[in-house]
Amino acid sequence: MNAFERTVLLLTMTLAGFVSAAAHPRDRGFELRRHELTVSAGICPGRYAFGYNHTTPFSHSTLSGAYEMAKYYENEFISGAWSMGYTYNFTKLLAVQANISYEEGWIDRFRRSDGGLSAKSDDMYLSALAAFKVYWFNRPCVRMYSHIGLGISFNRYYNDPIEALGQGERVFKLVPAWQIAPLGIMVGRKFFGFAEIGIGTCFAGGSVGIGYRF
Amino acid sequence: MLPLVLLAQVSCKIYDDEDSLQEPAYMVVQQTYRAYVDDLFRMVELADFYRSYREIWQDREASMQLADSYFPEGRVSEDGLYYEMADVSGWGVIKAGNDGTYTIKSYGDYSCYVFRNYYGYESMNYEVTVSADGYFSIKSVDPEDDAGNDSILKIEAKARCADGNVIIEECNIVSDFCNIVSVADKPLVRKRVTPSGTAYNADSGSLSYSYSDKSGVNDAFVLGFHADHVSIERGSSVVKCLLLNEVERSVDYVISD
Repeated sequence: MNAFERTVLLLTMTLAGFVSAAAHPRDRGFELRRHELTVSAGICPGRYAFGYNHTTPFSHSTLSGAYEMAKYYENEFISGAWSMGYTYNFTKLLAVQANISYEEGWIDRFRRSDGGLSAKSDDMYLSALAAFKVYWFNRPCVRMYSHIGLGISFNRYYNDPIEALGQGERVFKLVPAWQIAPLGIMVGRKFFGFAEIGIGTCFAGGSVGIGYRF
Repeated sequence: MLPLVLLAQVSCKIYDDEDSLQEPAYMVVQQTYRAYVDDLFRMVELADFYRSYREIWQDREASMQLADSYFPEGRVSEDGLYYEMADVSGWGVIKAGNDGTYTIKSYGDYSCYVFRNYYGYESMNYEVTVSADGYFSIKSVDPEDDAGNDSILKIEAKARCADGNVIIEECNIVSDFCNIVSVADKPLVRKRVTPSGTAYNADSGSLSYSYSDKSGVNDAFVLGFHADHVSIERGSSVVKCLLLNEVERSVDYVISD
């Protein structure tokens, strides 16, 4: 074997060594569990961020509206955005997730004269989404991922006229639901906690939760 | 589903205005003051400036110095000053009539719904008579608006400028169902405009309000101006409120004792 042949053989073996190492990364102790169950809460509920279907029973542009409005006060509530999910991990990199979310916002309007409840406005969403997840960082205790999901929400809302409690027309609709989370992190093994940053109809800002793998 | 609904009962109250004191007349006062009373002060300032300008109008340099010493920078330009008329941005266009009176077309603002039953941009036309003792008698002519509103609006006032103030001694603003009338011995006094800026709230004085519209709203009160607040007085009941600058609806405008 001459010098040229030895050089080619050496380069070939070196290249084969790199390829082999890439194809079979050093085992870092990551254990893939196929199934995950999660419960989470959105920080800044998504529907609240985009606006509920609340309307005011007062006309702000009339004299009578201004005087009527002064006779009542309001308490506004939000339930928060709560989700339950099931994830199936096809591989270390790819997974699909099914999610159910619930969010509600409501306003109680009371008479200033006697504190009696006069009218309510309510907006509720029950959503089902399917999401595609990519785990781009995997260690035994830490995983980082991104996901994008689409789905549908069952929406029910009503706005009572003033002094007509319960008489607001109940409206039922199906509306699109979506959620994008470019950054999520899970910490733990069998039991884990997680946090996400994203925007969508489930949460606008962030989400935190806990989960169980099996 | 049940766990989600149970979790959702951990609700959060995000708004409560139960303890926010209410005075709906404040909304009426805010709108009428912005649309009509503040306009009156500006018309007096415009007439006062124009009267002084016409005495020196041939001296262009002195005329511009007078304008710069009266109004904030940029309000008056050389090509807006003539013996027959003057254009002051944000105030209006004033013209001299043949009989010694002035006519003014105000710069304009959005209308007050209490008076006009609609919300749109309108400018007022005024006739101004100057007396020998320096009083301005102001009387509205037909207003112009962008919606063809046919409701009544008549404005009359008697005012003067003195000691760096604009003083409205008599005032009568009348629409279909609302009257705003000056109170005897309580003239409205506001600082006159200066090159460094404009004043808005009157510093002292009172206006008497009364209205009764077809929806059944009836109210009558005296609006009092003070250095740091305005008061809405109904007999012995006095409600103190924030000054009439642009106050957002969400702000607690009633001052609690």
